[in-house]
Amino acid sequence: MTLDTFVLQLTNGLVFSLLLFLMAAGLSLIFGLMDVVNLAHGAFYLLGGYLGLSIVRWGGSFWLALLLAPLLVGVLGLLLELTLLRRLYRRGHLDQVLATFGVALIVADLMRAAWGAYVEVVAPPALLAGQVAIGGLAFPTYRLAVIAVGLSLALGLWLFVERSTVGMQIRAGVSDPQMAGMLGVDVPRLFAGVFAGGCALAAFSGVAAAPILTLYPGLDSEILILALVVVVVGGLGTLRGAFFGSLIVGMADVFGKALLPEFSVFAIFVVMAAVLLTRPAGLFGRATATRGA
Amino acid sequence: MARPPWVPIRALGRHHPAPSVWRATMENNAMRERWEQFTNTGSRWGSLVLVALLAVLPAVAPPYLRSLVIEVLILAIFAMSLDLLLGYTGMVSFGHAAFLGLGAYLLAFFTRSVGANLLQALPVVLLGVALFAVVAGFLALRTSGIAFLMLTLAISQMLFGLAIKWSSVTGGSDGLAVARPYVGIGGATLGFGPDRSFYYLTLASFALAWWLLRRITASPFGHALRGIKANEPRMQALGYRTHRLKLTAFVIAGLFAGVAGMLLAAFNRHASPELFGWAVSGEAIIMVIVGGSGTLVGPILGATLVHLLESYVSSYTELWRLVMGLVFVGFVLFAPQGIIGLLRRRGRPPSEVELAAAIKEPEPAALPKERRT
Amino acid sequence: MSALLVLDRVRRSFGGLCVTNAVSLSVAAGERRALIGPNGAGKTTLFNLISGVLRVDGGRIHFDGRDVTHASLDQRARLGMGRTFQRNNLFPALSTLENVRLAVQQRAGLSARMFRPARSYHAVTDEARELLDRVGLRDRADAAAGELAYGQQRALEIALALALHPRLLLLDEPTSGMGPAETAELIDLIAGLPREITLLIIEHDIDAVFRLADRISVLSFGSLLAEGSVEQIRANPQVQEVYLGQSTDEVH
Repeated sequence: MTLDTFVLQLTNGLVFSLLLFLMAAGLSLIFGLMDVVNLAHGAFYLLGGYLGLSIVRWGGSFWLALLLAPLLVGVLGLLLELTLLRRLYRRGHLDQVLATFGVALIVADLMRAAWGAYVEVVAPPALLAGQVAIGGLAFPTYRLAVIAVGLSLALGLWLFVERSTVGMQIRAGVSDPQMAGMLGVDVPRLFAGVFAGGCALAAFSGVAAAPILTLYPGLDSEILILALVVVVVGGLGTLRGAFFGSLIVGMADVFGKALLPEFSVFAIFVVMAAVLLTRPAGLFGRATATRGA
Repeated sequence: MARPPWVPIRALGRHHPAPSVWRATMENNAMRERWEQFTNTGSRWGSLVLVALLAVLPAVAPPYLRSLVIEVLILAIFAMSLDLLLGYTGMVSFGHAAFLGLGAYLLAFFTRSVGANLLQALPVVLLGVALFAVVAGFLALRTSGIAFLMLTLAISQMLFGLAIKWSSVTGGSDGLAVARPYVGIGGATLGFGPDRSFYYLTLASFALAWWLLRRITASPFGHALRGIKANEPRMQALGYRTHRLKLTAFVIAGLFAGVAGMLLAAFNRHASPELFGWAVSGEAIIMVIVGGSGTLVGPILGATLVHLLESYVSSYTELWRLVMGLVFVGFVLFAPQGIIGLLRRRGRPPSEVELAAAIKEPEPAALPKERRT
Repeated sequence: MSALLVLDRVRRSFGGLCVTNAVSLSVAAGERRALIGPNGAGKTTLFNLISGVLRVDGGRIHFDGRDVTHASLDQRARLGMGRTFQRNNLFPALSTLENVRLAVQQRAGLSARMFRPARSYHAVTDEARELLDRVGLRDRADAAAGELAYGQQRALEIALALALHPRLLLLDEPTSGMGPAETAELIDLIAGLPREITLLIIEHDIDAVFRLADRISVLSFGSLLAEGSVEQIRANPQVQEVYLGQSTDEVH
């Protein structure tokens, strides 16, 4: 691998990592707060992408898609939380996870019915369609934009969770929901909000990734599983873990595919196995790995 | 417990509950026990009658139905094996398809490189499955609960990716063809083609798997697994090496799933990467939950219902997963104990403990967890 | 008499709070030792450290001449430590008999047997029934453990611990939440245990402590305050101040 291809792959790895992060951040926060793994998260990612595709096709701009699709999916997430998950709070987390799996099946089939089983390509907005030359290397402008947006969103999310009042409530809820409830935090509302927000983030990631990864049935589970690995590697329930986990998994995926195409999946899982053997709770986990169903 | 003489021995094997009659008699413990046995792992007579009925089925049923029953029986083995983890031990594996696919692919490898004699293939394939199960289980069991679910999912997905990408060995997304299997000792061979012989091979495997799992779940080991599900830290305080027991259960479940995978590959004459997919693992969970987890009859019922629903609905619409998803969410919401739970509820009023368990799995209470410190 | 259990400067803290502060303790084989102290003195934490539920931050634990500092909860149980929990910790959905059978089959080394039905191991069932008899639960064998009355659950806890044939029995407030009659029965039961079982008991009922214990250790704020015979502890002014405080009148 020459230095040039290395730099290009590094860029691709960063792009993929940040897209993964947007997926995994929602997944991880939802898990940290509610102890629920949202198995419909991948479906929401893909739904975001497909909605974006339709918005662009109906004459809306890519930018509108980037705004509207997450909003729609966020509302869907909110409805799901209010109608389905809330009924299962008292019953334990396993049932909630299973319910989200049912939703994943339903949404996946509805998407297949609505958008068919073809590979759909979404063109990046004209403004970002070209390439940028840096140091003799040509980088696709869109990918650089994704990096910029991804990093700023990561920073924004971090600031939101660390600095804002709502963020403080979320952190309180992650570390001890009961205590947070006693301190006057409206826990059900917080759950609903974080769940909806996480789904919206996934959808945003789906729209942003569509020009790069395309859209096709089955992408939902592929992305979901990578995001799950991210969360396992990074540690459940932490934003920092989701970020660094995404970097590790994203890079392992991109470089694995470049170096050992046949065994690229192995790269990711070797990383995961190594992390689990040394730190069962993940790199940044607070031994939460023993929590759950 | 002694059975009062006026309780008919086989009463429960024969008819399904007529609620009014039942409620009156269900006070009786022996009766209750038999009903639970019947809906739990299957009463001896009930299961014999079922297997006997299935044995005469090919004589009267069209080939189409025969194939359908073959698939149901294979899936029933698969679902029962998953329930050993999910329902009995409380380990929610979302990657059980790994073993189904592994059984199928290892059989394919074996028939291509050595031969299609099942008597030779079986030990080799099972050894391979067991080795993988030990390694995967060792890794996955470093966690529990939701993290375990995610890890098992990730591990099976790794095999899926390998099956697709490593095409020089696995045939990529086309999968691998499987030679027509036979059983051969010396010069005598018995081939299993698309005729009745394969049906009986499957039925025999199903009956054997059911019988073995009944023995296992009723054994001290099986009881220990239930103890782990109810309260693992307490089991440790009683001196149980729970990690080892869970790993053993994981390997046993993997072996049965591997057998199901071998049968499936032999039946389809093909091993395809989809067998590793998370949809397959998820479908198995649906079968177990819809039928009734923590039982053996439940997964059998669930496999039957889900597969029949699938083949029925898919003949009308492409969207059978949608229908299945809706049915599944309905069960999770309104009947988490599955069909078995519904039957039992009709049979007698649930005790307080069962109500509590239906609302929430009992939480291991008093052991402070190290993580809180 | 040789020491069965030796704690050597065992320490444990939670966050910044030192809950067990260099506790050294030696319990002789066959001895009956009570561990007393005001609420929050760290008695249950000490039990958790001894039985392996929690790990020590420092110090050593020896059991029967063996260093078990790093042994796991289940290893220690198999070495002969049986314990009960302050809050009932059972298998609520399983029958009372099945609860005890689980303990008996483990001790008998049968828990890996997977081909014969558990019910066909009659020796296990018989022993479990005997134990239920012993703790007064004979009539409740088929009831789900979760349906037992509170006091009965306490008794079942003890049956579970006894099923392990422990050499050291750790009882964490066995009579808590029990009425006077039940308490008296339970104390009789404990007092009647064979002397081969070394006893370490946390108990708030002072009369029970004075009746059961050969020696008493007093824990206060994570440290060992005093240790001695019943008479010595009774007469110890420091102990009276810290623990017995108001109740000295009743004791005398």
